Amino acid sequence: MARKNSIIGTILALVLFIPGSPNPQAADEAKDIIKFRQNVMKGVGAHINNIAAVAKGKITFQGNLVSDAQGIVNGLATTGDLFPDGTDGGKTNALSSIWEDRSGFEKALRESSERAGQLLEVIQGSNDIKEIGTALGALGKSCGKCHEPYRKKM
Amino acid sequence: MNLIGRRCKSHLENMRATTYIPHFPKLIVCGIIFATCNSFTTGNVFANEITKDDNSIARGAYIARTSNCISCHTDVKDGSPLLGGGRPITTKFGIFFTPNITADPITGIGQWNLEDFRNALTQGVSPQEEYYYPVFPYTSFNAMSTTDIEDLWRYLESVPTAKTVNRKHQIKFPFSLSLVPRLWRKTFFRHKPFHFNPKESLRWNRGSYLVEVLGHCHECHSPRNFIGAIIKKEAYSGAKHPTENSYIPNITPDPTSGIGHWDEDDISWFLETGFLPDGDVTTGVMAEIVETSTSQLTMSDREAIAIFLKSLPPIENLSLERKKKNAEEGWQSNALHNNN
Repeated sequence: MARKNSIIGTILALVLFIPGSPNPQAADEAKDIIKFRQNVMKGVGAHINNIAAVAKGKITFQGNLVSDAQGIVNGLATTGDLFPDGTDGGKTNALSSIWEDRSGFEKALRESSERAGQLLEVIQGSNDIKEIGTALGALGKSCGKCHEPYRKKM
Repeated sequence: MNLIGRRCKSHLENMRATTYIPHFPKLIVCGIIFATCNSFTTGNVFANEITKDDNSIARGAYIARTSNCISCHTDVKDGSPLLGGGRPITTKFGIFFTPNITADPITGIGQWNLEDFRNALTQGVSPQEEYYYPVFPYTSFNAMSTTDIEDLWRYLESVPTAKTVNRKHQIKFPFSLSLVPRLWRKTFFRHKPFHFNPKESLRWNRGSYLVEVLGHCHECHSPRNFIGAIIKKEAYSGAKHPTENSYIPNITPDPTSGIGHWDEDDISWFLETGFLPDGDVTTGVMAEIVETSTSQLTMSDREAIAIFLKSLPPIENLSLERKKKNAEEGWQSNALHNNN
């Protein structure tokens, strides 16, 4: 009997505490999500800048390269989640094409994520600033493939 | 010394062929010739690592990249052949389709000779005496050096011919009248040989030649008047995009509306990679120009461009529309900021 109760207890516990579908943004306000994702993008930009400083030969210190590259990988990994439905208005340059062509948007993002992953690999495997610069350049081109069709022109 | 002599001689020939001011006082002509020849004694502004190459075609290929011939005369989106033309250029006067400039005798410019090419490039007149619209920047190429024109010609002769037939421009009336480009030219075009500024360094002068002549940066980055002529005193201060709801950036060193917060290194890095100083990237036509042109220049040329741009007089130029847009959206007035 005790054993049966414990099984029921476990099942109940699992049912009650099973994590819900990850949609915490449903309750968040659009304007806050927009600000949040802009900061994520600015963060990615800052990491890119730091790697660029090394690739250009302006900064000889290489101690931050891995964490900067990891920062880009991490930032891009969640970017897709930061454009939920209903966040296409207000102070944003995001175009409605993101929601109309979600698969194209996700594809462009995936390419950037891959390029960021490759940049991280290059940085982990080499301290040659030319190689790092080339990988960074490839990432930059992929950024443009997302910004071009899905972001308002300035 | 021989080289200097040869260059000056060919420059003289060029001037004879192209100067359109018949009663230009002889003294001034002599002065210009002296000044131009003199520039070669202080160093050759047209020289770079590439122009040291003995191969005229290789040098011409570099000029073609620097001058953006490839980007405009190749319809990349349509997958058309290199320099085969057909790329639409949308302006407020209508849509222009760039012509085929390969050496095909029927569809391209295969029946032209060097003199025809020089005239077209620097005077804006075709061998059939048709006047080009200033969407073709002969106004900038006018000051191209004789050697660069010859090298460019050799390069174009070497490119595989394309069979792409030229498309007719779709120009709005009354701009479609053939008299219009002719009148425009008479009103706004002046023959202006490259002027070597002895007060500035050789690299600055090289930058000036790259920006103002070959790269023709001001053709896009300057506001134009109602008939499409650049407003000279506002050159490089940016412009509203002719067809899109966007802005072509101010590239003078103004700290608020221009690129005053960029250093020379930021500029040459941008030209090499397309990265802006905030880690964002350029898009649209400029991304294409970075890919097909500026990223393929020598580092020294990119640096020369940066030196020249940083020396321009800073102009604050936020258009009324831009100010209104910024106010409506409550944003900072920097056209280059990133807002996703």
